Order: sequence, then structure tokens, then C-alpha cells
Amino acid sequence: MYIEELRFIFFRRRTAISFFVLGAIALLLGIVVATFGNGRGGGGGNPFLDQISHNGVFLGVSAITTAQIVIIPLVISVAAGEAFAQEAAYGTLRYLLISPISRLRLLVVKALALSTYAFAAIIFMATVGLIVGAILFPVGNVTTLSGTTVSYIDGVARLYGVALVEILSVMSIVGLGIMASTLTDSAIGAASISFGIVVILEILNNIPQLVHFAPLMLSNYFSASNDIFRSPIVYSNVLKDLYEQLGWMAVTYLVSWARLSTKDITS
Amino acid sequence: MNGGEELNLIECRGLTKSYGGSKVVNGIDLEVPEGSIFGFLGPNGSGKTTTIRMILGLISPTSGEIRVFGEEIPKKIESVLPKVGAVVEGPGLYPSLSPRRYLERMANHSRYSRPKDQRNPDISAALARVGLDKVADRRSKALSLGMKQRLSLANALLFPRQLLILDEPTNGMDPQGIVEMRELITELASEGSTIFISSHILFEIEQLCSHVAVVQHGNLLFQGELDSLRAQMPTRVSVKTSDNARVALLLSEQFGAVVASNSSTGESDAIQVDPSVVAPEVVAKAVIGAGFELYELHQERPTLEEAFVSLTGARSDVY
Repeated sequence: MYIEELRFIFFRRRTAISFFVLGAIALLLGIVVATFGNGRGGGGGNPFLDQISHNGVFLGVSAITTAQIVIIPLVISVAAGEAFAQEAAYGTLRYLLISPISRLRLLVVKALALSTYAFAAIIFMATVGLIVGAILFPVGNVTTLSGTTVSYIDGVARLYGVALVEILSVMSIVGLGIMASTLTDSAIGAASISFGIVVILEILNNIPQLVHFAPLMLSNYFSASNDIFRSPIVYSNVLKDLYEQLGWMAVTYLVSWARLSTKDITS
Repeated sequence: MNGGEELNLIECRGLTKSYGGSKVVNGIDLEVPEGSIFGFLGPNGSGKTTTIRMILGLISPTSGEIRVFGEEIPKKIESVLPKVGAVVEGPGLYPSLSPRRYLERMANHSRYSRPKDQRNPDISAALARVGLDKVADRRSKALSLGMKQRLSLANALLFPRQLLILDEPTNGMDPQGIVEMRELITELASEGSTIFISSHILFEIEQLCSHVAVVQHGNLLFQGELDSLRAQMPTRVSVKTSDNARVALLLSEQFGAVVASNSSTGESDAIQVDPSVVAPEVVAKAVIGAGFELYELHQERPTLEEAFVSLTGARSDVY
């Protein structure tokens, strides 16, 4: 069933397009930096952008940290928002359920498959960044944010470390998308709800008065990925991110199950 | 089944579903005996599909009880559904998946609800059975509505089923498709499946069914064997004579038994006589005895459509 769902997700055009978009971001970022140099902005939020021209490893890292605020949540919301809403719109949900597969099993299978999709999409983005970075920019020892130098292999490993932290950080968005998908029969509606919640939380996260609630905001620990490039690696924020994600997953999947288990399937 | 007791594959007691106060299904009691071809009849919007969705555990009843194979629904739905094949409210397909891939997906997802020897169904055979083998690898969005219906049926027939629930299965089919569907249903019934088929197209049901239930506005108006539905209807004796107008007058004077007569327009029309008031042979003697010629005299069985109309009092919203 899990394999079937993977096959279903990966063999559709929308998925190919989303991979293309994520890969294109890494590629474009590489081309822009290779053409125009680092720019003189300095001081911006993204500490990796300036490093790209020194070492190709940072292209993959920058691609992920650039896309993590908008594009990645959007792509994942779209994919996860389809989970039940699209099946309902097609009229296939009723046929799946009477085929039969239990509602709980279907929820678990969809959650696992969509998490796998998120995993694959972000690893793909990191890999495109790594390859394009290696072609366009110098390859060699990597200078960490702490100023120490590590080997290129170590740098590559840390790039995938950043990718893994990002994957962790979007698990709640997969949950949000699935939750929204059980609330409506419109896939685009579900994606909008999910992405809308992410954006609202990002805005709330930036309001100083709400600083005490910041640990609840999805995007609060997105920057935990920076810590992977410190020396030694700092895990405390990653750990907080993990707790936050588990909390959000618990809430979103409980709501999904509450909704799905009692829902009248009239579509 | 011991002691000659008939087993009901589907049993509903007081089944009710209301949406915001209005009762879409209102206290329906259904008994679908094993081995029957059970026609579930009603005008559009009479609650047929809602009833079927409740039987399949897709929506939960507001009140009342459902048992399928003697098991309580929706509590035991997962042990019941593997034995049930169904078409519900038309086909539900993925536009970009081929018929073959669609059936594969349904089979893969329901894999663990079946015994090991039933996990790999013969998809090509299922497609061939409904005549879709030639378009098996085409995208579903390129199929006609009739073909989509067939695919939905192939899905219902993918595994051996003891009970088939078919909700308007001939919707969108051409006459040829309808004939094939009817043959297929007869064949499935002869293989031992019980078939519960809903329709608003009466002549389809009439030729197939052993039992019928009639619903309207969520209420059950009748259920039982098709013949007993017809038996509830008054039969008529139709008489054609050389002078219908005068014969009608004569008969009503003698017996008060004329139901209807449209004799004013000519010979082709017939006089209707109620046989429970006067026997056909008495009518014949009276006609001949009075010196008229008797062209035709026969007893008419009411059609299902007439029975239906007399139950629902509504002809216009049937088709």
C-alpha cells in the first residue's frame, strides 16, 4: 500500500514539476552568483549566500535556506493538500474505502508517502545544489561559520545535514496539508489553507510582542540548519525544532483522524 | 439457512439519515434475501444512494440498524466489505490513470484486507469481462461515460464477491451496453452472487429482478417479490368488440363493471373490465349474447411501471 501510494505520487506530472521548480531554484541561484558575484548586501539574514563563490557546497545550503520560507512550504502544501481532497473530488475516495482499506490505514499510508515525498524533494534540491555548485564554484575545504576549516567531504555531509534538518522542519507542514485535506473536498482549497497557516505563523513569529509564543511558530527553528555549519555542530535548536515538529504533527494528525474517522463520505 | 429460514444478506431496521432536520432516508426496513436480484427503485432524490452509502459504511446513519452478512454496520464494516463489490453513484476515476492502473491501485490498497490467495487479481480478465480490454492502457479521461461505468463495474468484479451493490450501473450506457450489463448481471446471479441494484429506469429492473423495493421521499413504499407487487395491482380484462360504445353501456348496465372505455374514436380501442367484479367468460357470453362480435378479450398483467406509478403517484420524475 505504501509502495502503491509512492508510485501514485511520484508518477504524476505535478510531482515532476515540483522537483523541477526546486532544482531550478538551486540552478538559478548558482548562475546568478556565478554571473554577478556575491553582491555587496552583506549583513542579510542568510549567512551562506556570501560563501557560495568561495565554495560550491554552500550553493545547496543557500538554495534550501532561501526556499524554506516560501517555496518549500508551498510545494509541500500543494502535494499534501491533495491527499484526501483530490480523492474526494475525483470520487475515488469512496471506491478506495469500499475496496476496502480502513480509514486509519489510508491516513497512515498517505502520511508516510507524503513524508517520503518531502524527503525526496529536499534531498533532490540539495543534490542539484551540490552538483551545480561543484561545476560553477571552487571545490575544496569548507570554512564553517565558526571560522574553522573542515574537509570537503565533511562539508558535503553537513549540506545533507542541513537538508535533514529542513526535512524535519517540514514534517509539520505535511501534517498541516493532510489535515486541511480532510476538511475540504477541494485540493487547491486544502493547499491554500495549509500554506496560509504557514505564512500566518511566519508573520506572527516576527511580531516582537509575541516572542513568548515563538517556540510554537513553525518557522521559528528554520534557522536551526545554520547550526550544522558551526564547529562543533550545535544541536540544541535542532532538538527544539524536533519537539516543536512532534507537537505540530500530533495536533494535525489528531485533527485529521478525528475528522476522517467521523466524516460522511458524500463525495 | 437451517430449517428453511432464508438468510438476508442485507437487513436494515428503521434506517434514518437526516441532514439539518430533513430526513433523506426515513425509517427504511430492508430485507435482501440471499440469492436474489433485488431491485431498489425510486425517483431521483428518493434516498436510494444515501441508503447504499450507509450500507457500505461511507456515511453513518442518524438512527436505525444495518446488518450485512449478519454483521453490524458500520462496526464490522472491514470484515464485510471484502465480500462486497459495489458501484456507487457513478464512476470515480483518476483522469490520468489507465483502466489497468486504476484497478491495480484499488487492488494494491485493499491487499491486506483479503486472504493471501486473493491478493493478485486477474486485472486483464476483469477488463475483458466488461469489454474494456482494448482501452486498458488509455488514460481514463479519454473514456466515454459508458466506458467509465464499465470500468467501475470491473472494479466491483475484481474479486469474487458474494454480494454486488450496483447503484444506477447503466447510467450513461448505450443500448448495447445496457443489454450487455443485463446479461452480465444474470450471469453473475447464476454464479451465486446476490445482487442489489438501484435504478430509476424501470424496464431494466422488470426484466432482471426477483425482488423489488420502492422508495420515495426517503420512505419505503413496498418491498417483496416482484410478482407480489404486481399482484397488489388490479388486473384488467381488455375487451374489443364490433361496437365498443354500446357494449360498454351494456356491460355497465348489467354488471357495473366497466373500468374505462375510450370507444368513441373507433374499433381499435378497448373496454377495460375489472375481473374481480365480473369474470372474463361472463363478459364474453354477455357480448355475444347481445349480438355483438367479440374481436379480442384478454387479461392484462400490470407492468412494473404501472405498479410503480400507482405506488408513487408520480410519473413525471421517474425518468
